[in-house]
Amino acid sequence: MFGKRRITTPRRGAPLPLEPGVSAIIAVAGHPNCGKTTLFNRLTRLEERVGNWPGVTVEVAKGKYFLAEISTTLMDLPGCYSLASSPNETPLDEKAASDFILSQKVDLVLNVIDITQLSRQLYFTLQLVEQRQPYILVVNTMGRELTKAQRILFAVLARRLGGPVIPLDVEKEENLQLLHHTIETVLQAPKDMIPVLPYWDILESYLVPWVKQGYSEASLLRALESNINGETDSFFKFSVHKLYDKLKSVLNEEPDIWLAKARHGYIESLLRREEDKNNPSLEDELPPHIEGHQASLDKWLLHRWWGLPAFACIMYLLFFIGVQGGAIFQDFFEITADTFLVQGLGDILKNWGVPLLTIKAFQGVGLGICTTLTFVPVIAGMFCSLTFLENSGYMARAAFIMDKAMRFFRLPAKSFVPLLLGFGCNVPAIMSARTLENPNERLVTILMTPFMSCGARLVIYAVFASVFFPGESGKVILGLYVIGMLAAILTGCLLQSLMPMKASPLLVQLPSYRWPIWSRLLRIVGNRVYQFVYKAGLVIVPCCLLISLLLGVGDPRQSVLARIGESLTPIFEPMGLTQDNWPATVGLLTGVVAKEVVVGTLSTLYQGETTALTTAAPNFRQQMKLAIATIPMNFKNTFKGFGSPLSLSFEENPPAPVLKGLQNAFKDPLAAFAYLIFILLYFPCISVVAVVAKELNMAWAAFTVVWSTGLAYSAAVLFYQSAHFATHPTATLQWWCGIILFWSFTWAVAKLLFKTQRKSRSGRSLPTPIKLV
Amino acid sequence: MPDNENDSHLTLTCFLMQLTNFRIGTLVRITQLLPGSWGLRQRLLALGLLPGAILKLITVAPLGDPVEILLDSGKICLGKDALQLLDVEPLFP
Repeated sequence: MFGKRRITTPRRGAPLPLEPGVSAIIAVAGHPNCGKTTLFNRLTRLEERVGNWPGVTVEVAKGKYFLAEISTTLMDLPGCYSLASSPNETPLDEKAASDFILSQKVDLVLNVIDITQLSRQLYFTLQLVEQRQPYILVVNTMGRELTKAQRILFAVLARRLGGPVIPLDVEKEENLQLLHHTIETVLQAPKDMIPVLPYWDILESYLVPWVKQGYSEASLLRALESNINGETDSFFKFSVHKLYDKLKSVLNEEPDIWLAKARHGYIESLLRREEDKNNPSLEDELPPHIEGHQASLDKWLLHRWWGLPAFACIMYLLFFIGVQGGAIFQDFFEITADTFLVQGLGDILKNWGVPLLTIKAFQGVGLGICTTLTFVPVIAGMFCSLTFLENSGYMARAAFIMDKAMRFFRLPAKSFVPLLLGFGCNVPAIMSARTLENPNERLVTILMTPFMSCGARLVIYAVFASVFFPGESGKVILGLYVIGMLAAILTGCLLQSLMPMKASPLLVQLPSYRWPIWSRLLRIVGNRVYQFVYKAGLVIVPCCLLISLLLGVGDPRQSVLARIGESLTPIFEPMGLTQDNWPATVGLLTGVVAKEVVVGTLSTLYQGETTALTTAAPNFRQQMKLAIATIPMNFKNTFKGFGSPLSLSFEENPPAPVLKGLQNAFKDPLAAFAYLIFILLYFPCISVVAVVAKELNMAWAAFTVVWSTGLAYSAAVLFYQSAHFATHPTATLQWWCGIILFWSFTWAVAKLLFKTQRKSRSGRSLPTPIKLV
Repeated sequence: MPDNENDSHLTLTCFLMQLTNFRIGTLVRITQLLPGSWGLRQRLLALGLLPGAILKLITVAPLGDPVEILLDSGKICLGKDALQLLDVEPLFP
C-alpha cells in the first residue's frame, strides 16, 4: 500500500470520467454505528444476502449497485475513526477500512455521518478532503426534521469542503433518489477537489522539498500520522522522519497533534461561521448528542454501585425473554413438524407401499428439518431481545461495565453476551458473537461458547443426579457447570497463546439511547432465522438422515447403530462404561444430533421397547391440538419458574423403568459422573457445529469437534481413574502420563503449525482479500 | 511515527494513576499525550482528546477501570489503555 505511493500520485489533475462498461467502486465509510450498513443495504437491496449485524461490519461486504447508466460495486467498510493507521496496533477491521480508502482504488466515498455527532465525525471528512478523494457527505438525520438553520449549515459545508452534502434518514426512502442522482453526477463528471483548508497552506511550504522528490503532499501528511515502521521504501521513511523533526521544531508541537488541533479548530470555525460575522452561530442548531432524560438514565445504568445490579437484571431479562420465551413455542414447532414431516410422511409412504428402509430415509430427512425448525423460536426470541438491546444503545454501556472483568481473561467485554447466552442454547449464542468486531476475538469467543452447558444438557444431568446423587443433585449440577466454564477458559487461553492477541483497547463514543425501529428489528430477526434454517439445515439434515438410517427398521436393540455402539464401548471402558452398558454409548452417538434425545435413547434401550416413531398411527387433528396446548402450558411454566431459569427445562420425572435401568447399568456413581463430564464436554450438537461452520469455516468446525471430544475423553478418564486411585494406582498414573504426553505433543505440533501459517500470512494487510472487478 | 514502540507504558502521572484523586464531576484538562500505542493515539486525536481539551469525569465503572467522560457534548468511554496515554491536571484543584 505504502510502496505504491511514489508511483501513483493521487489525483493531481481532474480525475477522468468513467469509461462506459467499467464498473466504478464506491465505498461506504464513516465512524462506527452511524448507519453505514443500513445505507449499504438500501442501495444494494441485498439485505437478504449480506445481512450484516447492524453497526458491525465484520468483513468488507460487497454488493452490486445499479445506477441508470453505470454499474458500480459498492463496498461496506468497517467503521473507523481516522484514516491514520498503524500496523499491529489499529484493530484489523479498522485498518482494512483506512487501507482500502488510501489504496486509491475507490472512485467515490460515501461518507456517512451522524447528525448528533457532526462536529466530531467531520474530522474523518476533512481527512478525505486532504486526500483529494471524491466523496459525498451523507448526513444521517436519525429521523429528525431538519430546521432551516441546519439546511444553511449543510450548504455552508458543501461550499467550504467541496463535496455534495445530502441529509438523509437512512432508515427511510426519502431523499434516496437525490442520493442516486448525486452519485451519478459525481461519477460521470468528477470535479477535482482543491481543498481550501487554512491549516493546509501553513504546512504546504514545508513540504515543498519532498514534493519535488515525487511524493505527494497528501501521502507525506498521512505518513506523519501513521506508524511507518513497516515501510519498505527506506528513503521515504528517512524523509518522513526528517520532516517530522523539522515540523516539530517549527510548529513547537508534535505534528500529528498540531494537525488534529488544526482540523478540530477548522470544524469549529465552520460551525460557528466565523467568516460570516452577520450570521448567528450554527453550532447550537445541532441536536444534542445526549438529551436530558438520557443523561439521568445513564446516571443509574452506569452508576458505580448500581451499574452492576442493573446490568445483571438486564442480562437476566435478556436471557429469560430470549431463551425461555422462545422455548415456549419450541414444543409446538417440534410436535407440529414431527407430526407432518416424520409421522405423517411415514404414514403416507407406507400406504403407497414404499419399502420400510426408504420410509426411514425420508423420515430421517424429515427429522433433520424438524430438528432445524425446533431452533427457530429460540433463535427468533434471542435475536429479538438482542437486537433490541443493541439498537437501544445499551450494549455499548454493557461493554463499559464488563470491560475490566473480561479483560482479566484477555477477552473484550462484548464476548460476555455470547458466553452468557450459551447457558440457554449454544446455537443463537454463537450467532450473537457477530457483535464482536475483531476477527480473532470473535473466533475465540465462538470456540469457547460450546462449553457453556446448555439447557438440553441440563435435562441429562437432572435425570442422572436424581438417580445417583439423590439429595446432592444441586451440588453435582453446579459442579458440572463450573467444569464447563473451566473448559471454556482453558480453550480461550490455549487459543490466545496460539494466536497472540490483545483485547482491542476500549475507546468508544457512547451512542444515545433510542427506541428501535420495529419493522427493521423484525426484518433482522427474519434474516437471521432464514440464514440459520437455510445454511445450518444443510448440515443438520444429512446427519439426521445418517443416524436415522443407522437406526434402521425394527427393534432399536438390533440396529446398526446399536452394533456400532456395542463395538465402540471398549473405548469408553477407562471412564467406567462396562461392556454390558453399551446403550450408554449409543446414547452418546445419538446425542450428536441433539442433546435432547440422549435421555430418550437411553430409556428406549434400557427398556427394550420399540420407539413410538413407527408404531403409533398419527392422528393429525389430535396431534395439532396437543401441539397448540403446549403453548399455554409452557407459558405458565415459564413464568412460574421466573426465579430459577435453569430448573425450568426439567419438571417431569422420567418413568421408573428408566431410573431402574440406569441404576443397573451404571453400578458406580463415579462412573455416572464421568459419563456426565463426557456429555458436558464432548461433540457439541450437530446444529452448533453447523453454525460454527457457517460463522467461521469448516476447518474450525472440525477443530471444535476434535478438541471438545478429545478434552471430554481426557477429562472423563482422568476423573474416573483418579477416583479409583486406591484400587489401581499404576493404571491411574499411566493414564495421567499418557494423556499429558498426548496433549503436550499435540500442543507442540499446533504451535509449529500456527507459526508457519503466521509467517506466510504476514504480507497480508486486509483480513479479507478484496477482488476488484 | 516516531520510534517509541514501547507498548503500554505505565507512567506515574497518567490519567489512570491519578484517577483515585478525582471525584465524580471533576473537570480536568489534558496536558499531554504520553508515548504508547500509536494507533490508539490517532483515535484519541480523531475524537478530539487533544492536549488542552477539557473533560468532565462522569462515571467510573464498577471495577474501577473504564471511565466515562464528557467532551463537548459527547460521552466517551475510555478504557485502561486510553487512560494510560493521557496526562491530565484538575482544572480547579
